[in-house]
Amino acid sequence: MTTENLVILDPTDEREPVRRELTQRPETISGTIALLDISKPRGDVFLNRLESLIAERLPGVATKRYMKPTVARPAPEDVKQAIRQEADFVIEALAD
Amino acid sequence: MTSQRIGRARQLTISASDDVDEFLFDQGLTDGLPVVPPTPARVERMLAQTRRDPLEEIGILPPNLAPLTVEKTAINAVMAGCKAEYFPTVLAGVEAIADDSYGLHGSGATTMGGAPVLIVNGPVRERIGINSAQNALGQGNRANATIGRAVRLVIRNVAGHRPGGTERATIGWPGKFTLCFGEWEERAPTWTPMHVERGFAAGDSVITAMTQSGGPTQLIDETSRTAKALAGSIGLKVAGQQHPRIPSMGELIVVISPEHYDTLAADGWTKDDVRRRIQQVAARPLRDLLESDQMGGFPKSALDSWPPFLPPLPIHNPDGSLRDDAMDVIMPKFGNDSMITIVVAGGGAGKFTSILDPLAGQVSVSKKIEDPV
Amino acid sequence: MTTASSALPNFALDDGTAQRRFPSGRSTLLCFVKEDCPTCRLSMPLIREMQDRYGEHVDVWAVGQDSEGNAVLIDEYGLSGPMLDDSALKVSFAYEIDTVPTLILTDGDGHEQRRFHGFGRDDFRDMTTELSRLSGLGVAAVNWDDYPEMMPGCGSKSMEPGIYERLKAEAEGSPIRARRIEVGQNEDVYELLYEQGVTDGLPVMPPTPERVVRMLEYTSRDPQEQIAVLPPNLAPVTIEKVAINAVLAGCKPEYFPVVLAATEAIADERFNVHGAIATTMGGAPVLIVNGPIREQIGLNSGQGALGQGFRANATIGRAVRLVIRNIGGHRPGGTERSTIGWPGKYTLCFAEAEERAPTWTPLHVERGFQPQDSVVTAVIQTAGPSQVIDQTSRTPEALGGSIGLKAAMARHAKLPAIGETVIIVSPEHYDTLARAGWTKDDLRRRIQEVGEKPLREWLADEESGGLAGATLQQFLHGKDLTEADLDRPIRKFREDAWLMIVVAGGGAGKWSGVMDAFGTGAGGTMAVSRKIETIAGVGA
Repeated sequence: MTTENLVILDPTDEREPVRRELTQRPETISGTIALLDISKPRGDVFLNRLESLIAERLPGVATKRYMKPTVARPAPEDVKQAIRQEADFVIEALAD
Repeated sequence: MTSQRIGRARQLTISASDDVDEFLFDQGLTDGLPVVPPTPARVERMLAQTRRDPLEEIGILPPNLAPLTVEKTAINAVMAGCKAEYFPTVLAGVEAIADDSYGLHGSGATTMGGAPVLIVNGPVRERIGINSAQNALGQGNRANATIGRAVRLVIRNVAGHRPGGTERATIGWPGKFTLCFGEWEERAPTWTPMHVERGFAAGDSVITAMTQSGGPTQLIDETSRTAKALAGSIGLKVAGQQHPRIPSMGELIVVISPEHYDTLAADGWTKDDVRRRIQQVAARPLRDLLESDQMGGFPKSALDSWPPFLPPLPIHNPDGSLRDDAMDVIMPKFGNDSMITIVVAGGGAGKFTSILDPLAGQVSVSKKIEDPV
Repeated sequence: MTTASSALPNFALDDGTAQRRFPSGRSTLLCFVKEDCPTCRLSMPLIREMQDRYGEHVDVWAVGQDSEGNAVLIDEYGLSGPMLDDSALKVSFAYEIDTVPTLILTDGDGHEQRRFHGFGRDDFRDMTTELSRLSGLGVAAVNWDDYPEMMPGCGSKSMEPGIYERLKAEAEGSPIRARRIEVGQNEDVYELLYEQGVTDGLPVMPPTPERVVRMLEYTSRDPQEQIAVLPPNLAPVTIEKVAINAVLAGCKPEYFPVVLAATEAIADERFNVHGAIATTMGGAPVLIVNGPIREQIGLNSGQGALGQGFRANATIGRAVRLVIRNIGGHRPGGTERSTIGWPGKYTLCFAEAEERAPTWTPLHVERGFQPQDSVVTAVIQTAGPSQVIDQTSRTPEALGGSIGLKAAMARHAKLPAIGETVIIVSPEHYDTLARAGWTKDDLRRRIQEVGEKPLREWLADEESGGLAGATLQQFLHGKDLTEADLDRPIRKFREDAWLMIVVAGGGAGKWSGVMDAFGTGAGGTMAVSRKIETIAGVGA
């Protein structure tokens, strides 16, 4: 129960989406970049190309591929957890 | 988390089953509104914004005569809701009220309900987002809201002033929660900013603390087209502060809106010109001020004995006795023009000037704000 | 729901090896227990005995309220029958268990046959007799003399503060409809709330479902009842949304009836909250509370009543402001256009010190309510209070004159026709006026007398602004200014009744306060008073 996230209720009329602050952007890239395919057509083509460009230009940086089972729903918790634990950055192939 | 910067503050442990927000209310640490729990990590972040030693003592504040440290200031700044980057401004603000000449004890203890009004000048305004424009004296801006409140919480939690305790305001006013705003220097380019009038360089960031006891009350003048008429309106309004028939013995803040500034500046008027006009319009011969059984006013008892801690009046001889021609003496509302502080703030639309209530015998203090780390 | 004819709610709970579904098709005895309850421990050997003896024919299920404790009970009492894990407490909540142990016997379809709670020797004996009858087996061999006649039960875990409200918020039929915002493990909830733009610049209390449910307990009304539509968003204001904003503001739940009544007051069409908030003059609702509720919830009418330091005053006023911001959608820089603003825009709520001014008619009675009614009056003001000092006047004419001179400065020393104005008379000033037999109406008359001047003295001139333009035309009714007009007496305040005189403040201090009005009447605002709901059993 202690690991459950706190839930708060929206006090507004709910016309605006919930806003979140972006994580601070690091100045250099190191470690592992997660490449997330959300199962949209040709996402793999884009990520393949990106992967080779990263290998070429950022030789010390590793990449790792991830995949959402369906484009229609948010990433399942295990995919999010895996990315959180295994990678330092994530690039998502968002739209076709 | 191990702490590098946390000093000596006692750590309170709150059990998981306790409601931390309620706990802080129950401890009497708030002004009646919620606070952010001052966790070590949050206090650390605050302290990281100053070069000063957390254990450095800023002053000894009455009535508790407790030493106010940089760390204790940081804890109260967290509770007030400050972002870390506001901390140097909060520090300078508490330095101002901790200054001996400020007279913190009297300002808190008086039944008139004194509270520090904080006015900020210089580049820090833009750096941390202090509002000097629309609704500058109102709610909605985090920097204004929380910097003013942080100083108030230091007065409550470190100095020990609490309503019903040594804080004895009869009626009180909502400025006692928080009142901090910036002077909109850029909107009034022909006027000397407040901090420059008080001897600082234009590029300095400065906070001025001045005890006021109520207000603001708003002057509306939508029709005056000359500086003389508009400043005349302001003067008539200022004459009513505290009592329309009693000279003021305290410093006064006049907040002039940009549109009113435009009218005054169009005729080439400076802040000093406005001060002079206020004094001219507000002055009255003593006979028109004196109280009677039909109308309150200047106390008759003050004719023969004037309290020595207040500025002298022109109706007395050097030995304290009443001048023969006292009734004909024109009494200025303020003994000195410099008691009238004029700042420009507020939104671009609206022909208003707001005036706060002075508190007799209090002295404002300005402090330079440390550059960011 | 516990009547014999309706079935108890279905559930499925794990007993460590299998999922047990209720109803099971067989007669079932549910035994709600928790480990740290001595009465449950006293009952455990009997529950084990019933499981051992009748378990083949009747489902005898212990239902334990925390998983670690369940393991302890199984171990200590050598339980071989099922121990269902209700550590989520959803079943305990749905069954409205407020005491453990509670034993409920049902038929195979889940209809309740028999129920008791706590330890009663006869209750247990009757229960075993009933199980024996149902199973056709002999009565359990229990030495009843080893047991006390009775022992009261313990509070169910599902009723503990914080837990109960969470369960209620999550249960079927939850009063909560608002969008839920999940706060990540690494997110700072206070910062998140700032980022959502839902604060007035000061920290807010996180509106968790538990806190909102607790707030809603203090009204008898349906949480989804729509009490208003607020501009500019024209969003429906439900009681639930008001409760969320009351939590944000920092209200205790017992303040909620006042917040609700105040929200209804400001949402009243006559109040014109939109005009007041949108004006560059900087309007804000000032709330004045009368009646017994003041004492019940600790609203301050004494020392520092208009200042900081008193949670009821601070948070009730702020809750209404946050409703205007978050539901109505008014924000500074958006539709809220105050030029200068004033700190009363955070919050301004206080009570009238009725008892301190026994010879004066309290505000709510002047406005048509009964003295014992609890009432909140909302009035738009645009700044203040500004104080008038009078330490020496000893006659009501002189003191009333001082207050009148100060009130005459409102807006502009030379602008008449001022609207509703709140005047706070301090107790010491009240004493001076009351000693001479003066009423609130006498003070009103004196204020009007002092503020009255011939039209010529109101006119703008080259020395100062004042009456001119459209405002002047109101007095001329479209005709040209004549010599006769110039002598016509003009009063400062359009109506005596618009001087809202209340006594508040500490016992020492000869100062009264005058606030700044907004436009009153058509096109402006009118103060609105609302009776505050009082709920029997809660609040005091």
